[in-house]
Amino acid sequence: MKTRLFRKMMILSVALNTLAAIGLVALIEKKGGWSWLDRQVPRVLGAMRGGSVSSGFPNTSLSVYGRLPVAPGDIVMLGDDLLEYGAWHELLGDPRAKNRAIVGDDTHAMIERLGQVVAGGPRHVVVCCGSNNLRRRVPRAQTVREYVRIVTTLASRSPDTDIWLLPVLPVNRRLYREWIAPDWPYLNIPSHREVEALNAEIRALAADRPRVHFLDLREVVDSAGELRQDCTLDGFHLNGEGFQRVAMRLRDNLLGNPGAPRK
Amino acid sequence: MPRGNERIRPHLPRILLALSLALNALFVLGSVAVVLSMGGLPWLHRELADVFPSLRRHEPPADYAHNMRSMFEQLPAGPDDILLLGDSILDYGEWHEFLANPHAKNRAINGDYTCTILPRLDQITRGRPRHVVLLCGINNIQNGVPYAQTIREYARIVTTIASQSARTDLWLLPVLPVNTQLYRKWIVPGMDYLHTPTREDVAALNGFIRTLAIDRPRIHFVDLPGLLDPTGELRQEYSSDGIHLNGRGLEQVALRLKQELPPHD
Repeated sequence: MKTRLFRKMMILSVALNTLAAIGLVALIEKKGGWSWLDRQVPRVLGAMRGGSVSSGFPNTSLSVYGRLPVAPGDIVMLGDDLLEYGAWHELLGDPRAKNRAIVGDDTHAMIERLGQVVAGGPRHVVVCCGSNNLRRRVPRAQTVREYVRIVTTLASRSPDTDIWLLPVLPVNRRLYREWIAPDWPYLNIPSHREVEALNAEIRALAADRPRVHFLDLREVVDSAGELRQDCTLDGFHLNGEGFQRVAMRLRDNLLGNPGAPRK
Repeated sequence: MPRGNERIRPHLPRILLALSLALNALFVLGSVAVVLSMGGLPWLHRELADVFPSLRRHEPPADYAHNMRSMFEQLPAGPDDILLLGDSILDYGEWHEFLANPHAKNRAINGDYTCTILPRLDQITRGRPRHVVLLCGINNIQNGVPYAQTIREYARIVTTIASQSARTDLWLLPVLPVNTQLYRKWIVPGMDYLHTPTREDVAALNGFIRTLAIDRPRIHFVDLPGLLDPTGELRQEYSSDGIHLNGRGLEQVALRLKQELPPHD
């Protein structure tokens, strides 16, 4: 190898590496230095198994639900991020509707808190879970196993309860990438295919169980299989319109009437 | 070993170049991998916009507050309503359950300040509710909003509700102090940019809030002494993280409200 060329390559390569290293340090400093790096650790960990019970950070919602009993006649909304924002007794027009959804819950976390829900022998339990499993890259077989456990536990401990399984909703990818992904950089963005595959399994759970029903939510999904743009602001959570459509579907099936008037 | 060294030495420059080139490749591939796994070009654009503000796009907001407002907008509002208005302290509550009252409705939004509550007051008053319970101010304190601005905006919230809905009874709850030990353990590590609220911060604001209820028949101040420990901080049994009320704490608030608000029909 000619010495001159060699020397040029060496200088260029080392210069580029030095620039890259300086750039990296400057970037980390700009983000907040050590304390920023420190903060990424729980975020990366949080992108793995977590939820209401396992994550360690005190969960206020869990403590609130622990103080509020469930009674016969109640409609329990047992879910994750999708259901938690909802003002269900207002949306369903029924004061017996009780929010027991917790942001961040996956199937594992939900199993841990079923006792609270089922102790009172509610009339209906609406189950919505799985989105965080997909986001945390939990293998589908494990998700399905845990989901089955949720359903069988509810059914066996409260045999007169009707259990309504909601599908995992797809995201709206464009909006999700804009609004959610930057704040949750380590989470998987659930693909259309992943969501459909999991929903097929959930649907199958309702097939042979008399008091378990699957309610699809096609009113909030568009022709491309994504969350409808008019039903979400951030590509992940339902907005007012989205909640109204889901509520209408729930009212029709659980309460047998279109019920509560919209504004 | 001299013989080994002699074998390697002539190749040393080449080895070093190879290592340096490998490091180059690592930086390049690593950067591509990071960008792709974080969300690709949209993510990169967002990161660059943080550093170069001229790149920022102006999209309509889509945060939790806007999601909640969007939902509230489509929910019916009426004259029997008891609206709970404020920030995360009240937002965690399931109020129709805690108050055993189907007319109780949660209109509190996690993260709200006085200045983000002001623009949504028409949503609050449009049904001419029977009662509005207000608890806000801690986010102003944590985020260093000047006292003068906070009290000005707080007062405006009160007068706006009173003028837009004369029949509404407004119940002002005190801003709660934190529990410093728990706050330092759970809140500070992840959010070191926040100012830890002191008892003095809180007392000053509450002193002002109390005055708003004087000589106004429909404005009431509801004290919450049972939530404080002998040192004047939030009791640990009522908060898991030092700032938010837990289930037991919210239960106590509900008890006080049930004592003060006239019973519903």
